[in-house]
Amino acid sequence: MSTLVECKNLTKKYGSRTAIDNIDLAIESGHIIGLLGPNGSGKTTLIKMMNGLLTPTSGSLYMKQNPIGPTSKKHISYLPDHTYLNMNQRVRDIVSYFADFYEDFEPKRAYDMLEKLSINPDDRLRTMSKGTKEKVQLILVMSRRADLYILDEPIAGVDPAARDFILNIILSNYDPEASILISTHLIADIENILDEVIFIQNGQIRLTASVDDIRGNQGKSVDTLFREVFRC
Amino acid sequence: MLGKLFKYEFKNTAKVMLLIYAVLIVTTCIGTLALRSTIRFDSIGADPSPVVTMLIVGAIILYILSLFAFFIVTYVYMCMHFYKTMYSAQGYLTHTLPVKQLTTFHVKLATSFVWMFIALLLFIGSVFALLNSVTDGEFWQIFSQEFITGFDSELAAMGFHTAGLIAQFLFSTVLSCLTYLLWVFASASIGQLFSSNKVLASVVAGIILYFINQTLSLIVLLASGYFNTIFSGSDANSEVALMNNSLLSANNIYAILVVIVLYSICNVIVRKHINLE
Repeated sequence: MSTLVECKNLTKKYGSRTAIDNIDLAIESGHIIGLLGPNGSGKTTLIKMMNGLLTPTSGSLYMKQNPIGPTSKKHISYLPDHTYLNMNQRVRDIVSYFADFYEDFEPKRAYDMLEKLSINPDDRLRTMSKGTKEKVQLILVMSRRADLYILDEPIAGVDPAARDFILNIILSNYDPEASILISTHLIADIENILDEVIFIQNGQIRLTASVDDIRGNQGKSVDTLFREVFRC
Repeated sequence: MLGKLFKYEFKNTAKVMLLIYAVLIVTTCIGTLALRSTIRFDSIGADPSPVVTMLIVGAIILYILSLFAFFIVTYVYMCMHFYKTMYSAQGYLTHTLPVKQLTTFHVKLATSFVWMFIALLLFIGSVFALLNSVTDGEFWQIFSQEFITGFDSELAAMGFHTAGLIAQFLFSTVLSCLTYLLWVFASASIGQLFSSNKVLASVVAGIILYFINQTLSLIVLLASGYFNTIFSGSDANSEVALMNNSLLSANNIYAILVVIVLYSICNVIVRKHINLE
């Protein structure tokens, strides 16, 4: 087991508002980690900094001992919380694009998953429903052999049946040596697949714990603990 | 990776750009046909029907409008494509590719420049084709003989040479294309730094950069003595000589500085301040 992500004194401010407040955090390999917190707690900001989409105000952030940059991006497979692909492109073209840029991308896996879901690779994204677009994005992200998968709200906005499918895709396609960081509000739906949780509030880490510890020592589900910690 | 970036950048923009070019080529053909028709009617002394006259006039107006629209559409499309792929939803994909963000920026700038430059060549080609066609090929003869050789001999004494002028024209054109592209790219890069209303912030940044540029360029013109020459009523030769000796070179140096400043703004923001909130 090795350290994948390491944050030291990481801070992000938007003007006078502090979104991430002096966070120290380490993410080890081989875990499925839930990044949990209420709206506006800083989950997406933290994730975006890990992917180089936001620049920290201060502090340091490393992926496998590399600063965030081209090398770190080779190791991270990222699913944003919204559609980010060119809607005019066909799925087949996007698969080629990923295969060209990501050495760890496996087109065969992508096509297998698309076939299972009866998604035609020759269809353009703009002709697809919102749910199908999200599935295509998830398939692309999970078809990489990355060290860290960062999934921002992967099951938000899809029906319960689709949630099961998405969780199944995640579980059946990731390398056990890799880690998955999942940000979500829908704790009850994902807590069975989590190894660890990180509770974040007002840009600060409130709690990091293993799910076994929460269940065994505290006798609570993650969902129950979340409601207690973040009670309004 | 650089080759792949160029491949996809050209691929993503080629469809629209080739369509824009095709529209210009078609309207050039229509405009040429319309003008030749009027010449033909005049030469045989025929009076075309009102419908035919309307069609001819409409075709010529269409051609003139398409010439104006051609550059605007090309430029606006390049700017929109840049913003969409760098600082909106598609930026999430652009900036998570395992390449340096600055490399991505360079590829977008170079690709936009190539399309703009081809557009300029097509524009000139279109006007040449039209003039050459309506004069039954005489225009090119006049241009090549009177302009190139005549121009060369007449103005050589004033320090001008055809090759030098063409180089000067190309150099100024390259600088202009880069300036216009970098102006919008820098404005968009500044605008994305804001937490909200990023497009509005980009527009405001563009306006501010424009006014700064205009003010400074006016100062350069004043400093170069350009207005003194114009208002003093000096003869044409001394004006040309002045332009050759000071204004053009001062202008070029200023244009190069503008390109450097705009590029530096983009460079710093793209490398260190990407802000896809």
